[in-house]
Amino acid sequence: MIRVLIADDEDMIRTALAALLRLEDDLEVVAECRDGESAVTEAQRLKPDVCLLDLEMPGLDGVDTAAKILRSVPSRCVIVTRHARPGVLRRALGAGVSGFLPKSRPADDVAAVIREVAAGRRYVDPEVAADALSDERSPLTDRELDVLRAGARGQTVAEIASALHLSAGTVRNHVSSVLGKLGLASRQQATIHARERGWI
Amino acid sequence: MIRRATRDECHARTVAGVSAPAPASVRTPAATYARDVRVTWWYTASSILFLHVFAVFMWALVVVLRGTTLDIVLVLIGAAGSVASGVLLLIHYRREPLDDGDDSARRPVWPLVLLGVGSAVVLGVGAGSVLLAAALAAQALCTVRWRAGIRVRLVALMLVIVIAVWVIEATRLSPDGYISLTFALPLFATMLAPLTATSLWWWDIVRELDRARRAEGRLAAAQERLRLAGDLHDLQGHHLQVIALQLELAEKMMGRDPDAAVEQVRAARASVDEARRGTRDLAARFRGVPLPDELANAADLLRAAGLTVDLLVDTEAERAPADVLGPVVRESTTNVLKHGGGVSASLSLARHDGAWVLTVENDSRSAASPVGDGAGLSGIAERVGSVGGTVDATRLGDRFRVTVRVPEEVFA
Repeated sequence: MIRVLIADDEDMIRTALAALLRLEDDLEVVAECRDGESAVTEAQRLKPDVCLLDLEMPGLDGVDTAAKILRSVPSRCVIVTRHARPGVLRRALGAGVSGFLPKSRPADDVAAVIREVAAGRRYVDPEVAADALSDERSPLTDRELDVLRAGARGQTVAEIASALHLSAGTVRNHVSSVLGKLGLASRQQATIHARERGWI
Repeated sequence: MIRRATRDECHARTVAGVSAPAPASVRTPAATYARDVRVTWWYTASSILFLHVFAVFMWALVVVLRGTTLDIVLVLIGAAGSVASGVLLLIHYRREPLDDGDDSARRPVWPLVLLGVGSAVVLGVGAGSVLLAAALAAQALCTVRWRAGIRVRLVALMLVIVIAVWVIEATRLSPDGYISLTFALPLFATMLAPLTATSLWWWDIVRELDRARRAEGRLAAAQERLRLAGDLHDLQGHHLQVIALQLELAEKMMGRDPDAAVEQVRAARASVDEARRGTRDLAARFRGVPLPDELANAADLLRAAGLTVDLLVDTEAERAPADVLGPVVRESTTNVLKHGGGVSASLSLARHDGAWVLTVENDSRSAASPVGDGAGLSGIAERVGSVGGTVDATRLGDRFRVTVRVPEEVFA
């Protein structure tokens, strides 16, 4: 018997999926969670074999939830998403997620993926992989990404400069080059842009 | 030439040095145009102002050298007022909307013109020259954006008046007026108004062209949006209609023939899949990426999955046929990811004997080649075969290698 935890903030999809998976003889849905935080708590309590996590959840998203679960419980995680944003598959694989599939797949396929993953294999949906391969490449240099990363929490230019052992002027030059390349107005926008695309 | 990208150099710019555009080309053309338009304005405004200041300064110099104290004071006041009105009129000109139709956004320009004309008169009195007063007043009047057709007539009229004043003043004051001192000063003053008018006319053309360029960009975007909306509507409308029909049929058959009803429900599900695929293809039309980027993304994904990846990309790989080789990259990356278990993979795209050669190699403990089962491989072989290429899958111990060779000249 494979014990499964499901986390999805959309009640209808979660209950429907749970009902469909309960029809499978070898699957047992042990928990249904509304958000990432409760999924982590429930996973630590119940230690399920496989956690099926929605990517788009309020608070902790699917990948962050998976990372937290995988740090504390010997479970395997599968991410389900409606639309995989650029960079998210890379983030998920980096976090140690075992499976990634779109929500458009029928419940039979989801069950099959759960079995694959429970058996220790990995499953990445071809459509999601194809999307990830057509991601836009980052036009920024490694140094420019360092600057964005060092300023990601709203640090001042002086703080970034001392963290990277650069002069404040050099940091400013990097920032203005980043803004020029991305066509944005502020460092904050650039940080959000880069984070959304998985560059930092 | 081929460069090897190591695991540490996982960033776009460093991978084979071809995947990211050079920083210079990153600046958008629109931003460059906007900057050029601004520069054109500053050039236009500064040359008009230079001519104006130069005329006033030369004339004032003559007066300061020979005139009475009252003359000097009058000339200085007039000169300051005239230059100030010139600057303010130029600022007004720059801020004024280009559109002839919209009067509500205009600020009144007549106080500035009045200041210019008044200062010109004061300056003329101080310098004892009607010509100077007329020339500067004409210039002030020509620094206003008149409606189409009025400007050219006004300039012609002003030119005639100023030349007439010049002739009268020259004949009347000759031989001991300032005029006889130098021919250049009056000529300069006379040319002030026409030069200003033509410079501003030129600036208007630049602005008009810039506006046309922007409108063209918006139009192209709007057309693309309309086309997309049309395609989307056709696609979804068609599929939804089919699905509705299939479901209606299933509903009606439910009582009499449950098996046939189930068949219809299955057909409806197939239609949903088809609609989804169509939507994806439509979206994919906007997402084409160059092959080097796709390979770099593949390497990134495999590295994120914990594999050691070697990536070798020819510097001219952007010319490789992405529509044939792209699916191979996608298929093999998916399979390497799916089967997992491996620790290393290598991707290479090179030119060899007049052909593009794409090689994907991985080690896997499971018995799967990078292009997976027969279905994926045969689809790729068919696609590659149609352009005269070959697909070759081999197994060397625990490593699998797929080599796809596509003749170069087909795409030259």
